Amino acid sequence: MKKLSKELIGASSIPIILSVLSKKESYGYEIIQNVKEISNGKIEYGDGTLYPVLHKLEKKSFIESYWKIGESGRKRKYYKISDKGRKELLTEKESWTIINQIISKLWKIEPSLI
Amino acid sequence: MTDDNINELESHLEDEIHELQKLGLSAEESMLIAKKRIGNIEELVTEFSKVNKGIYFKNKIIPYLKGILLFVAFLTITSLLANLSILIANKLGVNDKNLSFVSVGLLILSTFILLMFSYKKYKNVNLNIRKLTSIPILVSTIIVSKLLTFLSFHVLNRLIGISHYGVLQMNLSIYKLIFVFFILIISCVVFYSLKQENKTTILE
Repeated sequence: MKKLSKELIGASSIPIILSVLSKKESYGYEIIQNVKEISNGKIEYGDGTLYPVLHKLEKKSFIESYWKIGESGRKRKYYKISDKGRKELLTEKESWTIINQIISKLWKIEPSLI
Repeated sequence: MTDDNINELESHLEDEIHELQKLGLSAEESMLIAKKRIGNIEELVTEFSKVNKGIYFKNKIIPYLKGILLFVAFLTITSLLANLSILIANKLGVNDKNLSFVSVGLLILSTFILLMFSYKKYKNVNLNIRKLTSIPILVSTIIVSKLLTFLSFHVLNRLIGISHYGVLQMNLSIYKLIFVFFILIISCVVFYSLKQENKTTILE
C-alpha cells in the first residue's frame, strides 16, 4: 500500500486533526491510531511529529489541552477543539473543497491524466 | 523540551508499549520497538523546538547568563573582601605595611574556595552547586555584596585615609587583572584542545 507524500500529509494535518477532535476529545496516541484507521494506513503520523503540530494548534488557540486520568487509569494529555478551532475547520473545509473542485474539473477535461 | 512535553511523550510510550504487549510481544521487545518508533532525541528536540521557540531560546541563553552573573558575583565579592580586609586589619591593629598581605591573603582564599568548588563539581562530588548557581541566588548575592561594598566604602573613608584605600584598590585591580589573565589562558587551552580532539575524531 503506497503511503501519501510527506508534503501532502503535512499540508492536510491541520484539517485532519481538527476534524478528529471535532468528533470527540482525544490524546496523541489515539489521534495517530484514529487517522491511521480512517486513512487505511495511508496516513501514519510519526510518533514524535504529531505533538509539535498539536502544540502549534494549541498556541493558535484552535485546540485546548488538559491532563486527565483515562479509562486505563493512566494520566494522559487530552486535546479538545475550541470555538476558534471550529471556525478554522470550516475555513479549511471551504479551502479543501475548492481544491477538490479545481482538481476534479481539471481531470474531467483531461481524462488521460487519471 | 518542557516537562509537559516529556510527560506527554512518556505517556505516549506507555500507550505504545501496552498496545504492542497486547499483540504478544514481551515487555523488552515492546520497549525497543516503541523507542524506535518515537524517533531519535535530536530529531524530537528539533521538531519540538520549532513550537517552543521562546523556551528553547531561554534555555539556550541561561548558561551564558549564569556565567556572566557568576563572574560579576565573583568580582563584587572580591571588592567586598578587599574592603573587609581593611576593617579586619584596623580591628587587629595591623600596620599599613601588612595591610596588603591581609587583603591579598583574603583574595587568594576566595580564589581557592572558588577553585575548590569547581574541582568538586568536575569530580562529580555530591555537591548541590545548582542551588548556589541559580539565577535568583546569584542576583541576590550581587545586590547584597554591592550594597555592602558601598556601605563599607563609606565606613572606610572615615576610618582610613583615601590614600590607603587607593593602595587597596590598586591591589584589587592587579588581582582582577591576574584573574582575567587566568580565565583567558584556561579558555584558550580548552578551545584548542577541543579543536584538536574534534580533528582526531573526524580523522578516525
